[in-house]
Amino acid sequence: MTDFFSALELELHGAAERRPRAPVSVGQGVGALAVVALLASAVLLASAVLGGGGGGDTGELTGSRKPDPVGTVIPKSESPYETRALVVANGRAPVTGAWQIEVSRTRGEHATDGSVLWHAGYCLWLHVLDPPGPERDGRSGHCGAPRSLGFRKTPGFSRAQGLTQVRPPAEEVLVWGRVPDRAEMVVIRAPGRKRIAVVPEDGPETFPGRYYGIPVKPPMPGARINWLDSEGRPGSRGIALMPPIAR
Amino acid sequence: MSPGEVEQLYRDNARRLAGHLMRATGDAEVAADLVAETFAAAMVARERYRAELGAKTTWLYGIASHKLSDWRRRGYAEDRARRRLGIERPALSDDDVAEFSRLADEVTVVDLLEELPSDQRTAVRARLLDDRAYGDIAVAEGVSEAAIRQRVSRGLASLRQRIGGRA
Repeated sequence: MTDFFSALELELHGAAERRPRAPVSVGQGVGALAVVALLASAVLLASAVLGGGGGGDTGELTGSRKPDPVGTVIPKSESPYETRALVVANGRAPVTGAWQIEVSRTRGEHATDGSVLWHAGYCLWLHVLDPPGPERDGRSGHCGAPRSLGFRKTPGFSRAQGLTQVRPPAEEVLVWGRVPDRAEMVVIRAPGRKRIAVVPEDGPETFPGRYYGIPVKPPMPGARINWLDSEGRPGSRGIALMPPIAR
Repeated sequence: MSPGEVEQLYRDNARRLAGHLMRATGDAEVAADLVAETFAAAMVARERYRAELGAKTTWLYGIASHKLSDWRRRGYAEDRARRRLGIERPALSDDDVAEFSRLADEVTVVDLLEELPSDQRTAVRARLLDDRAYGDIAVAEGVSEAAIRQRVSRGLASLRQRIGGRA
């Protein structure tokens, strides 16, 4: 499906299935968009979810907000993004708390010298609903062409990391992203460590791919993430995790 | 019709309708406007659809036909239903424009036949695909031969219009 048809389907779905939800101020996500503008060419965008004072007492479930159901369309008026957004996955992690992955469209962005910061297509966002610290917005994301979302070497497969603390030692890092529809398992491996395996969740019918969010307790030196198909075969060469997981 | 059924109608027909509108207008931007407005109008009017009046695709193409006529008369594609629903018409990339052109060449007459009202579809299929005589079809359908001739004529006119020519 081309970008036009999938985008129009998203619009129709929004018109049909718009559900009441808690308002989100438009200004909340501006910081996150600015981060994308600076770092979209990089594979990783670490989220800026601050901890409770650097190694403090954040070891309990954070926040009480419930994530929006998968398939919820967030109207543009309630979204900090360029367009309305679609919730494609959600979950709750011990330290990070409730999170959801959202998709929005982007017209792309160019730097002042004309170079492409990111292409027109989609942005995939991690939205931590109740970030432990008050200073920063709980969103981070990456943008790119529809099939790759910027991850050109591994189309359809993305991974990013959301930090629960800026200062070490981080208690939990939420590794999140998208895998192709045929992915049956997402696995994190590190030498000498027990592997972490999760089954990715289906997204809504209106957007391709499956999605995962894996809370990881760092460090896991040399850790890599990959997806497996129904026969247990690796789907790609895998992607190395970033600090503070893989130091 | 439920919103989900309209969405399914979109998934099943959007590309074919885009090809039809691309052939009719020769302009991908206009065709994209009309596709978006047609489905927005279908979403708005979904509760007025009645199965006994014809297939969903027939109903959809009826809406598209009205939108196309409005465009020909006014010179621009209206966006009333889109505004009502707050639907943004996605911008077309170069790849999208190429896809619209490709879709314009893709539709087959047999596909379009399924979109005709059932009486016209039966008459056209029996006369042109099965090569049956008008009189035989009339007997089978329990109507006059003149009525069958009229159905075939109207069905062919509708097919010509959907392929991109004037009826």
